[in-house]
Amino acid sequence: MALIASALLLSMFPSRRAVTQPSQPDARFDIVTQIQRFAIPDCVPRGGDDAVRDACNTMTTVLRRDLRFEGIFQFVPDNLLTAIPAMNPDAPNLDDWKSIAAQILVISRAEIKGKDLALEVKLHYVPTGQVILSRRYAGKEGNPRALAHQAADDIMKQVQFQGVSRTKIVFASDRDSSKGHPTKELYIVDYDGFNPRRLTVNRSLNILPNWRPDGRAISYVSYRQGIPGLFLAAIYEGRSQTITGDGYRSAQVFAPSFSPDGSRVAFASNRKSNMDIWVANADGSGARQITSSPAIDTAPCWSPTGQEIAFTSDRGGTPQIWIMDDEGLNVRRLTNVGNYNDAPNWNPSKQHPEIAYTSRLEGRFEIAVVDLGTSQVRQITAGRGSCESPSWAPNGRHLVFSCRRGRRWSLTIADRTGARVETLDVGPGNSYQPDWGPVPAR
Amino acid sequence: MKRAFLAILVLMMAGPVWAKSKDFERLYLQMSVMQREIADVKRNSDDTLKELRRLNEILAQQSESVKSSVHDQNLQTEALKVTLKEVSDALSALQQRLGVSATPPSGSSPESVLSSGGSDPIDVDTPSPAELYSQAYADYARGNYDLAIQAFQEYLRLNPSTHLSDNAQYWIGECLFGKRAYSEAVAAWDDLLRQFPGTDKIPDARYKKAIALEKMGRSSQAMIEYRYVSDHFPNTDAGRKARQRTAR
Repeated sequence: MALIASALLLSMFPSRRAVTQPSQPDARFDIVTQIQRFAIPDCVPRGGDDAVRDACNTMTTVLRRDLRFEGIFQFVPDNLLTAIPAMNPDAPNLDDWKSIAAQILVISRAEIKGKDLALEVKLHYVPTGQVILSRRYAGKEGNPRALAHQAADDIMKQVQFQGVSRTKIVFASDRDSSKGHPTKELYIVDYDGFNPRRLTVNRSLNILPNWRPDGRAISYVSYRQGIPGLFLAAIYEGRSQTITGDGYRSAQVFAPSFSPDGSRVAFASNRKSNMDIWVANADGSGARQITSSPAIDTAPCWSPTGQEIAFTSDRGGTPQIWIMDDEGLNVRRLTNVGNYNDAPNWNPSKQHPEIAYTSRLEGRFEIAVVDLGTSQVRQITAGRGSCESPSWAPNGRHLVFSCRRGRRWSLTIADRTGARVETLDVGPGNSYQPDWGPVPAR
Repeated sequence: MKRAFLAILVLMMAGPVWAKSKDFERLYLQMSVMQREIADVKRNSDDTLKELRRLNEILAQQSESVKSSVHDQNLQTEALKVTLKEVSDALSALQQRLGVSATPPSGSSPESVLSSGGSDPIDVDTPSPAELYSQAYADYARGNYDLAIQAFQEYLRLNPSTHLSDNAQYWIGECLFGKRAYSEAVAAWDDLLRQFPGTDKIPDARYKKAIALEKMGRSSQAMIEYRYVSDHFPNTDAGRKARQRTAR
């Protein structure tokens, strides 16, 4: 029965879970369609010095956390892992692992040579004994987390799942602000909060960051020229430049949002006296006014097809989420619950046509999600202080947003049902307006 | 001869003493052996006890594993139930979109629809018009344009004159535009103008039709549409945009 259900499911959604390696159809079929139970024993160091042992420990921790994060796999409990007799990592006795109901065994080994760290990962499909992944990752000794993230993403790809282990989050923070001179700079962290790096260094207000879909640049709003203007930071080149466009330097710009193909950027601006939605080429040229209502239109956000834009408008009397096509036509109101809804963010996964947004409920701001098919609203946060600025993970399974508890704003991550909500430790100060970046190309 | 006699005499006198010492030695040897055997037994017993303890631990862990496995199986069963329900719902929706409906379309025989291939009739709940429209829009939002077109067409077939019928026809044009099938999109919007002459979608449909015409390289026809929208609907979004286009 399970196989029939799985087969039906596969035939209905072939594009999402297409079996790409027909050479081992049965095992792949099982791997793709069943909930997998992973066993991830400790990484085995090659050589006995402390450095390689530490790297091994870190990589085991990161690998386990990455795979647990998505909430779709099961895991052999740690106490059972220790019951398995010491194994030869090159030839594990799979009967031992069968006895504790492991389905996928992840064996990792690490080695340090000079300043280079290498991680070898082997994935055994326990029921058939197949080795379904065998890969070696190389990097610098000081960055074992990056290698483990890469391995985790590859492991998830083997079970036909796009993980977010290598993704990053950009956000604004006042952590480097000084007394009497409040500033906000942009920072980038790994999706798990580690490895924070500062992106802007101009001692001004830098806010509302948005990743370009290729992951190589971030658009944002900066007050460095006095009024809020549109800027683009090229991450790998380490430079930032204005893309406000000639002739519009005196107008304010807010809330940039790249189209899914990265060719256009939508933003809110008062270029024609009223705050409206505009769309320009990615370099800021060729700007066109998309909305022209007497109300305030702001916070544009593209649909994953690039054909529609959700935005906030008070044209109905209170700020609500509206949708229009990318020409500014076929405009209709989306939200009807609550008298203040703002900051829409469209789930990038076409599996889930839904929009997350900030909603004022009982005097506090909460994160809510509206299903575009049924118009049903589900509340993601409750009792975590005031939460705002949601942004979806690139696979559409989690949200990041900022919440104020007491006097501090922190980044928070929730799964798309709201069942699991956790604060993300990204360092000192207040953290605002996160934007979850794309899965980087290899 | 005398020496030999003396030696025999000495031996005869020492005989019982020597014999006693031999007995003690044998006894001592036997005791040593027994002690060793007892030690061996004790060691074996310790080993057995240790092995028993180890086996006991493994049994306990395996019992935990079985418990966990049963729990997981239950979870999987639950997940499969949900999946089955989703599959069943999706199948129902698909069947309805493909025209296999519990309420057969007028003019067709119920047998021909429900009994195809000799299988048992399928009991399918007919979605409400609003549900069908929502499913169609959800498919549009996913980028599943062909499915969306089918669903909007099905909506129009079953509900030709609701307040959403003109919207459904408009969305068919949008889906075709999304597929870059510009000629078909123009035809779909022409159908809207013909079938729903009073719709409030006229300015948007004519404006989008003009864009499609431009994409097809028919700029002069596009300009006629822009002018029409600009002249007849000057106070709408489409009218304002059309004015900008014609002013270029």
